Amino acid sequence: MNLNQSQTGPKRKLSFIVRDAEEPCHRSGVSALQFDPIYGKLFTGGSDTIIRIWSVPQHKDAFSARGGVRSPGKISPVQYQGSLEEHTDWVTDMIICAEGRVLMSSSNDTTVKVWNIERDNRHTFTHCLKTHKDYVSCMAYAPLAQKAVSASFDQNIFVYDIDANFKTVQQIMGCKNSIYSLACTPNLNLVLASGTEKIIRLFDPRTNEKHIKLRSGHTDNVRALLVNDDGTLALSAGSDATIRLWDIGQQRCIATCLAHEEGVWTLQVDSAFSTVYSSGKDRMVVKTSLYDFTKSQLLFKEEAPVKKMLLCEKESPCLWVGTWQSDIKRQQKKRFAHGSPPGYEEGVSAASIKKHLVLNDKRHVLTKNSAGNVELYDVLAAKKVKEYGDRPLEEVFNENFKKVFVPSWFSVDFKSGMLQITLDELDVFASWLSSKDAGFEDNDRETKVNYGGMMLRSLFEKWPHNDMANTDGDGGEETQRATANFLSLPEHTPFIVWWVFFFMKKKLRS
Amino acid sequence: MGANGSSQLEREISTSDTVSSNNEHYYGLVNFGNTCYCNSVIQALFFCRPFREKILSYKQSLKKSGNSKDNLVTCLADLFHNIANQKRRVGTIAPKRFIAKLKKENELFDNYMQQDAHEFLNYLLNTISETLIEEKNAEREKVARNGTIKKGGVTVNIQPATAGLNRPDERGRNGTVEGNCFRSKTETTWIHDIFQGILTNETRCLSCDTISSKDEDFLDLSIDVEQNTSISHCLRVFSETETLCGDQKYFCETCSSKQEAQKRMRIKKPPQMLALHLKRFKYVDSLNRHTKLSYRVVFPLELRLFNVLHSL
Repeated sequence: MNLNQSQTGPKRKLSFIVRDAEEPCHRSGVSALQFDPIYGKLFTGGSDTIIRIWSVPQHKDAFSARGGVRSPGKISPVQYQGSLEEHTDWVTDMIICAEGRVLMSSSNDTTVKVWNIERDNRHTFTHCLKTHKDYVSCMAYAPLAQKAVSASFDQNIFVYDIDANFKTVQQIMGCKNSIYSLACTPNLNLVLASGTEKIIRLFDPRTNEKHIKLRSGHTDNVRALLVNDDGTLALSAGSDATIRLWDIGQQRCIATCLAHEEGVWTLQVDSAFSTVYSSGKDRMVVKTSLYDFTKSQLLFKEEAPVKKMLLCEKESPCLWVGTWQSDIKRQQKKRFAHGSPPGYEEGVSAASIKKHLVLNDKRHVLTKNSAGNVELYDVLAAKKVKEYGDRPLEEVFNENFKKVFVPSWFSVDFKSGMLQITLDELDVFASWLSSKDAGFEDNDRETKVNYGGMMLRSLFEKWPHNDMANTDGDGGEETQRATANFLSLPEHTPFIVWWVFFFMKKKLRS
Repeated sequence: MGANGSSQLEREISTSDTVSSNNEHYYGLVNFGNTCYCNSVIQALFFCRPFREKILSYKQSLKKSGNSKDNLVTCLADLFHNIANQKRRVGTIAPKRFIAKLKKENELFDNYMQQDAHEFLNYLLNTISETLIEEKNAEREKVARNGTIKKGGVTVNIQPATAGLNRPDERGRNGTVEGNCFRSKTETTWIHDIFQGILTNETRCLSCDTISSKDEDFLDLSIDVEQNTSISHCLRVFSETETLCGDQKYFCETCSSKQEAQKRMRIKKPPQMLALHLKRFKYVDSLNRHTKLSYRVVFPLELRLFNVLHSL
């Protein structure tokens, strides 16, 4: 390890996330939901980058409920089964394909990832599709064609063949702005896409002929799209708070629903394409009949803006709701039909970090989470060291103030709701300080320590070729001494190595 | 402009009925060598009625107080007074004293080079408002000092003095007391009353639809110009939505991450007098300098501001 290396080539970065070994609850908003009725599994993904799998008690429980074993109307809660952790940024959308054997997820980390879903819960990560160059915002599935479609802010739409090892079989171009919504027919004869462009573009992937545009509809970003199976009717919703029904043959908007007060972010329609469920920023879940767009029924109001809804019509029909807050709720159709305020809380939510302050010693980070609690993290140990409860962040900061100057050597990010520390090759070794200032017991007062070096040594401690300190000749001893006080990190700590267009995510020990 | 041209214009103005119906003076200003930046601004300000009236009344108050101050504002007031009290309706006048004072006060203008009229307008308006604030503060100090003297002498007199209801000369004092209350924010003068508006810079995160807006005061709007366009078009471009995407994503506080966002400028409070600065320059990379844009930009006699934020 050379502490004074010159910078050539792309900037390299290294991040790690401070978290628990197992994270059974979502830390932040839930933006992707999928339900596999065959195995009774619910998949949820969101801002905390982790896809979670829940078992949903079904058939048997339904029978026992009828048999009078269980009290009627009561459903057993979902159970956390496991998680899929390969994404490094928000999970934006998911699809289940190949009869529930494959899950595909899109993320803000610009990738689409493919997972094999096994009955015994030994799910495997199989592919990482790096076709997009910007946040991948949405996905669609064409079961009859066995193809998957993804769309991104990079204005591109890609079609993948599920049977041919997820090969990219087509690139659909034509969108002139970031894509925020996508839909396709089951036979993939029609792909709809829209976004900040406000017009909805219709493509026929079979031909490369000129595509149709649905104009003069939305006045703002289009956030959700749906199409019926034969590709004659489409539904769209957007940040302009409207839901629009389009006749694709006539290429015009035939009805507009103005039931919402703020942006509509998610739409679900029943299999008969007769009733649409919508929700969004105004937290209201609204049911509207497609035959009469003027009459909408408010089903219930969530506590936080709704990012995603999922309608399940099998067995006991219900709506799954994912919101800004990390809870997932199941709303039973039977119950909301009677106007009773339901709200069956499923996944218990965990707090997410909302604010942070780096202490003067450049070793500890104070955070305030969504529950209002202030917590102290030790970056060098990659763990939480103290909890202060619900107090003002600045007050605790002043209490912990130490009169030292240490150059900063890491950056803090909490987009996942968890603390993510990023080391940048430009300043990772900036933090030289005497071991006395660092608070280490040392006989030699002249010894200097380097936080960045210690951190790297901690991160690579368990890796097989740990000879970094020996390879360096003259500086080796100094390096060895400067990083001698490194701490062992929790083994589950995930870390990410970034190059410009490439990253990999690994656990400290797999 | 040649001498013949102006005399032609002079004849037209002096004979025109519509013009002679009001008591307006149309005077040309002599150019002392590239002082057109200054003359054009003075002309525009002279015909900006609220501004002229304030300057002339400032001159009146100076005369009354018998104060013989010499600064840029008094020079401007003298010049305005001079034009307004000419016997003839048309003619030329040499703003000699004003130019001399300007060159003395600001070395930026102390040469014979061409200057930016917009820069000059900014300088002039700021100088006027600074001078007014200074005078106001001096006045207030004087009042305060008088107050303490009174306190020492006749204590009874203080009550009616601060109330200042009957005697007219107390009213000014009362005004300064009021001004004191407002002073906790930023001191405003009639310059701000006339020219200051509020712009609001709105940024909406496209992920959570949260709008964050920031207000800023302006004395004039700087707008980009294009060939063969109108002021209305340029204003529309000014408040056009800009999408922050790709590498320029916006860090949204609500999302705690970088997201796409849309940004736009809107006028929250239009000023009494809207000053528009047409950016008639463009930076050319190949030349490594700014070039002038002599574009034709038409303007309507009545301008509709459509990018105004309506209070809902």
